[in-house]
Formats: sequence, C-alpha cells, structure tokens
Amino acid sequence: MDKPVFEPKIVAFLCNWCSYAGADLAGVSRIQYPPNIRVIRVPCSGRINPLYIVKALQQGADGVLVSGCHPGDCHYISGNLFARRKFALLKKFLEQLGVEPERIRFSWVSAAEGVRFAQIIEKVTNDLRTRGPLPYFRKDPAQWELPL
Amino acid sequence: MKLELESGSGSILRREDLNRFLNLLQGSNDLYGPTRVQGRHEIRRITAPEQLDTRYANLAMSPKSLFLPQTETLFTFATGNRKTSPAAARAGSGRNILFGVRPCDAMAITFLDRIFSGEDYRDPRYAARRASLIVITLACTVPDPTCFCTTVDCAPDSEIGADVILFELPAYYLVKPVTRAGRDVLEAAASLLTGATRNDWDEKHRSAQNARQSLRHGFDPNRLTAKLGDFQAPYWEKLHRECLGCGVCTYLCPTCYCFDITDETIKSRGRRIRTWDSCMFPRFTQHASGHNPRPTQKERTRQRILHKFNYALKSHGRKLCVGCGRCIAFCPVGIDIRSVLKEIVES
Amino acid sequence: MGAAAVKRPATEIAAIARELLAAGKIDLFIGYRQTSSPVRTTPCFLTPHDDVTRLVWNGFCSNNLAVYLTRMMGRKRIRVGVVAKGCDSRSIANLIRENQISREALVIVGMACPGMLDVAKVRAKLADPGIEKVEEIDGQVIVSSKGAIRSLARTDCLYDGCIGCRHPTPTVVDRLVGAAAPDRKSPVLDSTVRDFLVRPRAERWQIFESELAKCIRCHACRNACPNCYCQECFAEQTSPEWLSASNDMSNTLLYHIGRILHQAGRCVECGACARACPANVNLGLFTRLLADEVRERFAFESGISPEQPGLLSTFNADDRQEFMTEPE
Repeated sequence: MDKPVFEPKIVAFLCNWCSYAGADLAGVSRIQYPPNIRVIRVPCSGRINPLYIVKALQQGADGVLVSGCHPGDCHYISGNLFARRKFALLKKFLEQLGVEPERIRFSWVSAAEGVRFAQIIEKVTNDLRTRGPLPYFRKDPAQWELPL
Repeated sequence: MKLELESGSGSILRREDLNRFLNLLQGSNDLYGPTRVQGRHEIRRITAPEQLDTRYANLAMSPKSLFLPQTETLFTFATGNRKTSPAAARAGSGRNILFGVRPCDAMAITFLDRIFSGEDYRDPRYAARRASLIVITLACTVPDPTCFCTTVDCAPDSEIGADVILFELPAYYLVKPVTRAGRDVLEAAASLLTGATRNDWDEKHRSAQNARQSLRHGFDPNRLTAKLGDFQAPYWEKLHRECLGCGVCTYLCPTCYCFDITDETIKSRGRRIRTWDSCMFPRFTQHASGHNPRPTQKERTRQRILHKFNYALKSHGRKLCVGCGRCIAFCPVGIDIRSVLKEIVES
Repeated sequence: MGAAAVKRPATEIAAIARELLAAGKIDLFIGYRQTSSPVRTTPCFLTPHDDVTRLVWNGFCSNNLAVYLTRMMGRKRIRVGVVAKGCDSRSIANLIRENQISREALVIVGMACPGMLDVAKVRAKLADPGIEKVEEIDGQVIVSSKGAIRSLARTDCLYDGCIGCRHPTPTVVDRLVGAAAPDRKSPVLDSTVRDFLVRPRAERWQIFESELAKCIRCHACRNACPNCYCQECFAEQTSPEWLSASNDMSNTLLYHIGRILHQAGRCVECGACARACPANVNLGLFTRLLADEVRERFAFESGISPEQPGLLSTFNADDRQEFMTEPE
C-alpha cells in the first residue's frame, strides 16, 4: 500500500524583474517542476519584510522561498544587497531558535535562468517532502477551546 | 471587627497533615495550589504532594486568570457555515479546590464577581468556573514590604471571598469554614480536624495583629477621597512621567478586569475572543477616527488612579484595590502607588 | 587643594544637575532616586527649583533612562540632561543616529558603570528574602536582612547581561562621572547563550517555546526598550494584522520574533526588556542570540557612535551569502 506522499505548501516570494521572470521562462519553456509553490510577486527582494516569511509559516506554509536578482543585477540597483543582510540574520536567528533552516530558503535567480529556477524548486520541494508539515508556529483552531 | 465566637467554632489541623487535608477535600476533583516555579510562587494544578509550597508572602501572578483567562473564546465561526458555535461553559467536574489564595486576592475575586456575575450581567463561563472552585484562603502572617491591604479596607486575616480560611500558627493551622459550601467540603477531612479552643483563637488574633502592625500605610486613605475630586489638579502633570504605559500593573492587578473583544481568523475559520486589555495602553481609547480622548500618559495615569480610588468608590462602594502590592513589586520603573497617592493627599 | 575630596557619584550628579538647571542649559534632568525599598530606584525627573539631592547612584540604577527621551524630546523642543550608563549611552547614540532625538538638545551625564545588581540573585543568597539595608563598598555588597548582615561579592550578584557587557563606559557623553573603564573585546560571556546553542535543535525550540509560554502579552518588554518608539507598533497594527491579541503560542511567538528582528543591528543589550518582564521570560537569552550574530557576521555593534551607519541601511558587496540555496 502506498503511503500518501506529504505535499508541502511553499510560499515563494519572487522579485518581479528577475526571479518571477525566470519562473515565467520555466513555464513557457515547458520545464516541469513541482506545483507546490504559491507565488507572490514583489517588485524587489528588498521589499520583503522578514515578518512576511514568519507570517507565512504561521498561516500554513511548510516552507518559504524568497528569490531575487543576483547581486549587482538588481533592477533597483541595491535592493537585493539590503535584502541579503536581512535574510542572513532572519535565517540564522530562526535556526538558532531551533527552526529547521531548510524551511526558509533564499536564492538568486535571473530572468534567463528558467532551468535553474525549476531545479531550485525541485530541490526545495523534495527536501520539504521528507520533513513533513511545519510542527510549530501554526495557528491551530483546535487550540481555541482550552480547558481551565 | 472580630466575630463573637462560640466555643467549638473552628478546628485545628496539624501542619504535617496539610497535604492529606487537601487531598481529602479534593476527592476525585482537581486541586489548584501554590507551587514554586523558577523561584516564584504560582498557582498550578497539584498532582503530587511535593509540589505544594506555601513559603511566600504572595503569589507572583494573581489568581484572576483562573476565572478571567487572558484569552477567552466567546464563540467560533466558519465561512459558509451560517451558525456561530458558542464556546462551552465548562462547569468542570464538580467542585475543585483552590488553595493558597491570600486574603487580598480572595477579596479581589468578590470584586470580579460583582462585574462578571452580578446583578446587571452574568457571564456564563465565568460563573461556571466560579461555581466549580472552592476557595481556601491562606491568611497572612508576614506581609511583604509592598503589601498595604489595611490601607484599602482589607486585612491579613480577612475572610471575605473565602469558602474556608486557614490561619497559620507556629505548630498548626486554625481552620474555619466561612460559607456553607466551605462547611460542606470540610466534612470530607473531618478525621484530620480537632476542635479549636479560645487559646487558639487568641493566638490567631495576636498573629494577625502583628501582621497588621508591620504593614506600612504609605498614605492617609481618609483624606484621599476628597483630594481626588479635582480632575484638573496640577499634580497630574508630574505624576505620570515615569510611567512607561506598559500595562504590567493592570495585568497583574487582581481587581483589574478591563478587556477587549476582537476576532481572530485563520483561513475560513475564526473565533471571537475576549482578551485582557489595559487602560494604560494608548489603544484603549483610540477612536476609529484617529482621535484619542486620552492621548498621553498623563490622561491615562489620571484615569487609572481615579477609576480605582474615586469612581469605583462611587459606583460600587469600594476602592478597586486590595493592597496586594504587585503593581509596586513588578512595575519596571519602580513606581509605588502609595507614594503617588501620598503626593496627591499632601498636595 | 589638600586632601582632595572624592565626591560620591550621587553628589557629583546632583551638582551637575543643579548647575545645568540653574544656568538654563536644560529644561529637564532625568536621573534616579531611591524608592521606599533599598533595592529599587525609580527615574527622577527634575525641573528648575526641584530638589536635586534626591538623586542617587547605586547598583540598583538599572533602568535605561533613554526610553524617556523620545517621548520627552520628540514633539516638544526641550533640552534634557540625562544620566546614562554604558548601555544607556549606546541607546542614546542609536536614537540620535536614527534621527529620533537631537544631540544638541542633550547633555549626557555618563556613568562609568560597575554593572547593576540583580535583586533576585542577591535574595537567593540570603536566608530571608527581606532586605532592610544595602551598602556597596569596595566590590562588596553589604546586605542587612532580618538582623543578620551578609557581605556578598558584587561580581556574584550582577545581572547576566551586565556580566557580558562590552562597553561599560558611555560611548557618547558630555560629562563623565567616575573613571572610564576600558572596553572589553572578549568579555566574560555569561554561559547561558553558549549552553543554549550547543543543545540539539528540537531542544532549543522546546526551551524557546516553554519560555514564551509564560508570556502574558503585556508588551512591557517593548515599552521598556528605548528602541521601540514606533507610534504604531506592528503588534497593534490592524492593517495588516500581524497578530491577534490572544496569548496563543502562535501569536506570542510571532510577537517576540518580530520584536527581536526589529532590533537587528539596533539592540544594545541593555537588558531593560528582560528586567521589565513580569512573567520571568528569559528574554535576554534570545535577544543576545541576534546581537551575537550581528557581531559575528558583520563585525557590527549598535550605539558605538551616533555617526555610524545603521546595519540594515548599508551593505557590503561581499557580505557573506553562504546560506543561499543553489540548485545542486
């Protein structure tokens, strides 16, 4: 009997000019990649408030991916360079607290890198399939009627 | 003043029998009592006798969270489902025992009763929780320097709010039923109790008197009411400056009961919750228009003091304070309400 | 001059306050005064004609007075004199850097800080928690408790955060009281952070959750923090709504993670948040994790100078990015 494979829900914040275009390229090139990501398009990776990532986990995401332009290629010159600092600290802080670092991912994907995008999604999804649902953070309606 | 006691009123319980006494009272129900948690004393459900620890002047957190939890679900709902499901009023299994409440906190519970289970309004969940708990007060012998119950019409040996009261004497406890429910529940432990004598009560009075004498008033309560009439008094300009507006005083206060009602949702499900709120928060009086009638800490501090020591007196006949001293002990910046009130009295 | 009178720090602070107020150089002086308890001080606000002799300086002057500056100086154009320990001055430097207060309108009376005393640690060493009197003499804390007198080593009674303090001497100061102590590049770090990080991951999360389970969402940590000056805190925003008011773990976790992240590159590790907490949550452990990472990864410390750039408002082209995900 095949055990149903756990399919993680992944929220992917993609910067409009590079990563989103890269994802789009993967699409028009008919490159297959797992359908687990829910894409949120932002103008720039620097736009990402670290709390979006934490909030996504709270709201039901099993993993979060943030992807932007390669350093030096940002449409807004330096947005991704500011983002890099924020991401480093967010990831490290959560990792130290005991959150699996593989649940929060950052990548650089350019508009020409459709294949690379698909490969990253494949890698992240396969990894999260083995980890199961996020065991903490979640808002859980079952908790809403607590005893004395 | 002291009640005239017929001989035979009250019983003696040996100190070493306390655990067995509580177990007999609890029967098949739950026992909530004081235990040491990381150096502080809190009320927890007691499941093993070693947990019980009565070496405290007072509990760090007031027991109000047992009746008025920080978060309470009023009802749940889901989109597509046109009904709301009220949260169950958990009556609990029979009568549980709450032991270790000090007289100030027990009196505070009666204040909360007036609000949540009074003539005008009855919260079914509050009432159910209240009805399911027998309150066993542990009277005080050595107050903390921050205690000031006698200044606000309470006392180290006050019986108000108790179903049963235990007075701690050197060799034993003096046990007295205060309500009928208390008397009924004591029968389960009758085997551990022996009759108290006049001497025992004399010793109790002496101990209570010692405790009372060690309490510092800090301000003259009789002169306070008249002084608090002036809403525009100049001292309000200065009395708020240290205050951070953090709300710790209100959250720890056993008589503070202000709440907020909001909705919490996740995808298609939600619940309406009542959570603790504080008049010290700017949001407390924030209007949707953006206007705030209490825009700075001055107005909010004035409100808090007037509510507790003036308005409550007029509305309910009591100051909304039992002198437990938590606001003094836990204020992050060391504000002492007694000094504040003293300054008002002497202005 | 003869035998030079060594002024007690409190007397010196009072003299400076008197001088500044009398000369009209400031409108308000903020220091510490004693409460009715020998182990508690409270902030003291003095305007001209107020009694400056109420000012004290002792091991219980732990409050970070910088928290009042944004409120006092923000809207009104008043000039303020303030007593500042090492950590407090770093808060002030950070506030100036973030354009929240004006350097010109401040007179900073800096104290070379020997570390503040943790009352819980003092009490734990006594037979009876009641304390009647405390004196600090020559590195000893002499405590009178229920008739007995005990002499404790000061270093045994310091707050964890003070043990790990790298900058006991104010970094931005106008008048320094006491001899400047050297900065500590490799301080005696309290072991709690190290002990925490060597634990397995699941255990670390367990500890984090069980500490935060105590949180009653009073937000005293935020209110005591000089860096938390937002008119509308993210915790109270309704649009977007980050948090609900409930003290469910989900909301509590988001609140604390959010608040600490908002301190990245700004936290000066003064410990005000941990001391303010009425529920005994070990906040210092978690705030220090992030501050340590900031130091390690970016060689950056907040509050060293009002002119330094902010951590997250700058970048280096070669910032480490070993954490990025690659396809293979």
